[in-house]
Amino acid sequence: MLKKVLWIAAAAAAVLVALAVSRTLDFTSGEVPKKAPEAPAVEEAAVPAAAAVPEVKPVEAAPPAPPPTPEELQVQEDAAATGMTTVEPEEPQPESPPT
Amino acid sequence: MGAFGLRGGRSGRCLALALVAPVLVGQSAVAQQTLPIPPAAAPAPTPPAPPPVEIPALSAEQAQVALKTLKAADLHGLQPKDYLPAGLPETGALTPAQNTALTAGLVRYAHDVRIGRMDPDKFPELWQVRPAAYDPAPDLLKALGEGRLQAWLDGLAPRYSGYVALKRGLVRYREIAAAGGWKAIPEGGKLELGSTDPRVAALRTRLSAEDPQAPVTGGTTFDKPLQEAVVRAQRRYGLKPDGVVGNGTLAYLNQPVGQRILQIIANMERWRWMPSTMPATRVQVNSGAAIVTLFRDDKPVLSMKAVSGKKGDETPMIASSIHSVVINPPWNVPTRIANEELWPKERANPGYLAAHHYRVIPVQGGQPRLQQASGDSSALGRFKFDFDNPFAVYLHDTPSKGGFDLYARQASHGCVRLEKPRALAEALLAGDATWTPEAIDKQLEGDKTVRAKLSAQVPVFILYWTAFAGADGQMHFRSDPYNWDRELLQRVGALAGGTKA
Repeated sequence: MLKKVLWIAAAAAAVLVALAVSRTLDFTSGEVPKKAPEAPAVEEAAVPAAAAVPEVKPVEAAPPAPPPTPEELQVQEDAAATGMTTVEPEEPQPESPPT
Repeated sequence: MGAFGLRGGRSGRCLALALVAPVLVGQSAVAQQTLPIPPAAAPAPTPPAPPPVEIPALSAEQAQVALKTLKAADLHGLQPKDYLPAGLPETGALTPAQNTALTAGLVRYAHDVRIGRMDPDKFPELWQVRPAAYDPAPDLLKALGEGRLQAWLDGLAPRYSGYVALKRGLVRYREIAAAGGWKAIPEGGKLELGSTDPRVAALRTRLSAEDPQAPVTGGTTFDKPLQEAVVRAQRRYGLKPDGVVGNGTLAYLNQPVGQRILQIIANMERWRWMPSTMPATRVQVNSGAAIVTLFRDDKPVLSMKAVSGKKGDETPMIASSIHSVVINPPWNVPTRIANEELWPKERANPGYLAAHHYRVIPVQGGQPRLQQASGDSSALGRFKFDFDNPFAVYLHDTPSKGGFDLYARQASHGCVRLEKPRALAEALLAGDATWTPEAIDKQLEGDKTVRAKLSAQVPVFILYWTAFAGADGQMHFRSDPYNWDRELLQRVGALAGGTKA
């Protein structure tokens, strides 16, 4: 029984020593990454070159905004009469030295 | 329909006036505008006045900027002589005294161009849209220290399109005045399409002075292009656009150009009382033109005609917030209207009050009150839009729809009657789960009074504009129905300066 145990312990110690040696030698450092599996050549060839570029649809011009209805025009006119409280954008000021 | 007896000892809502603080809408008060006006509390102890700001002498460059700005004060309808010290040299260094006087002029100018020439404490009671007090000295000191005097001066005037358009209009009408203005068209019979009259040539000349599209030349026959020009002019003056020149249209055309310049200046002054920014959703009323507009996300989405107060019962200028819509409102008749209008009718024609659905409500130890029942004949119609104000005025419906067909619509006791109250009610209550259009319909089937509180109060500004640029960019004028332009110009001393005020 004792013999069996000693054999197992010796085997385990041998495995550990082997592992330690392999780490020290660093067998995996120069490993080249595996290439991605190449796509089957048949499929690549089957796709026509022109079709690889998605077809560019002609840019559709946005439809012109419909002209304001008489009611909308009246609302704008009335808004002006009640005070145009929209804020004017700031006029660009010419560069000038500090004053 | 509410009234406010503020003049000549009339009994009205003076008590309310005494109890409620005026609404400041100046820069510091903007944030408070969506809140109801709080009742005036006991006066807080006045904080000690800040120490006077000492402004250092202007550099030669700063003095040049100051001089240039003050000389151009007339672009804002102000008078350069009010700010420019006398005897300043055109070139060369200023004496210390001149430099101090120039700085003082600059401070006065900054104050006037920003909040106007009226002392905020001396506004008439009905002009509740007022700026907060403003001392420009600390801002001037900061601008000088940061080397941005010109930029600071440029940013003082209101930036609203309405103000900028008036500024352009002022330049244009001064150019017309400098070119000789326009001559009055002699009075006479009506001028209309097909008329042959020696005055037609004068009419053409007069119209072309303001309207670049109007025909300048032509014979003595009133032709189609001239009729179109008359219609455009009538629209600009808020008159019935029938293309016929009668006495009414002639009176507007014959107002001298100097009068129009003064009107522009008065309205520019009012723009300075506005808050520096407006809430994105708001109701704006122009009592001078009797028009109401609802803005949502800063865009006008609904507008309608209105009827505002008549002369003597002027609709006050107010900034407040609509907090509720009353459906089927009864009318609690103000004492003044009861005494001056309704009780005399009852005495002359007994049964008048009952026939018009008035109820007499006894008041212990006082004169009985009158209340008109809700319903189709109620003077308030079917909708009332409530907002806090010292005058007990509000926006409301009316059974008298004919008033909206008129072109001069100042006929109420001070409240603002609306042409499309239902549309405004639906717009203000939009999104309210309870007050859907169907629920409003159901409520209108009966006469029961209900108050629909708005989930978010909507600011309301009742303003008074008599000169503004229309959507076409042309200047539009109204008749100054309350005579407030004249009163304002007198108060700020602009009348003495003539048309170059």
